[in-house]
Amino acid sequence: MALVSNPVKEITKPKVFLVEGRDEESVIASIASRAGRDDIDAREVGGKNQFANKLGPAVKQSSFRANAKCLAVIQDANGDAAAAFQRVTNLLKANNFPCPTASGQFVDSATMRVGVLILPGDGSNGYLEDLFLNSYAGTPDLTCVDAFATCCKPRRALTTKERAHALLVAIGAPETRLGKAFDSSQINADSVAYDALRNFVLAL
Amino acid sequence: MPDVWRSLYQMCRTNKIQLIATTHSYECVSAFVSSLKDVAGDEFAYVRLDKKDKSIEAVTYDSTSLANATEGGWEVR
Repeated sequence: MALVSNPVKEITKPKVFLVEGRDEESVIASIASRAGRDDIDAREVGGKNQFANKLGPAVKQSSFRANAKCLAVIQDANGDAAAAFQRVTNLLKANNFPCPTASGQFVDSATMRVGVLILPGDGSNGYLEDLFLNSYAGTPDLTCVDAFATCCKPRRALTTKERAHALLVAIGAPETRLGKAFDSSQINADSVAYDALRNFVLAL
Repeated sequence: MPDVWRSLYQMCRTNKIQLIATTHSYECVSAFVSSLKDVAGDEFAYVRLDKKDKSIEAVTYDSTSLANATEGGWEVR
């Protein structure tokens, strides 16, 4: 058995974001850094199906109980934004947290501020990657990717994540994962396409 | 370490003994839950004692939540 020399995901900041994966974790860390904020911890749970397993252990940590004043959950809508929001709020209730009434909103209790954001936002179905694709709307790069997707369609329809990978390649990003590429000069992280996510992160 | 936990578990079962163990070791807790969750998942609990203000609070994990915590690399101590 491998030794766990530095077990890890301790919470050191007062504002805690639990997110699906490493891409979301990196993007939120980047948004916080760009805004000069050092009070935000973003922690990935290891996939969209892991919130139910990992939220409880995350908030039971002594470091969370000692340091966290705000908790936000950010999850992709996938094919059903309403269902995703319901799953998250059910989970929060099961762990005795108050729940906001809608995605993008917060609720305050005596001890904790809690928020939920279902991406890409505004009740739409989709993913974090939709924000990236939207940030390139109307550009030759996205036009090129759309043409490629159209070319592929008779054989297989590209997913949103695959279109995002193609766009990352097209713009010459140093990485083909959005999270790793987000800090590169090729990404317009200040695009209005990220406003809902950025505003939510900075408002928690 | 998993072998140690399995041996201790078998000894407890054989002799009808309740075992209370204490540790500060994450490796020890990880080995405990990974080696016993499938054979004795409903027979153990993990309790952390947190100091809060001037009192002590017990934070309890069942086998599933302890396994989820250690598998995900979350701190449990």
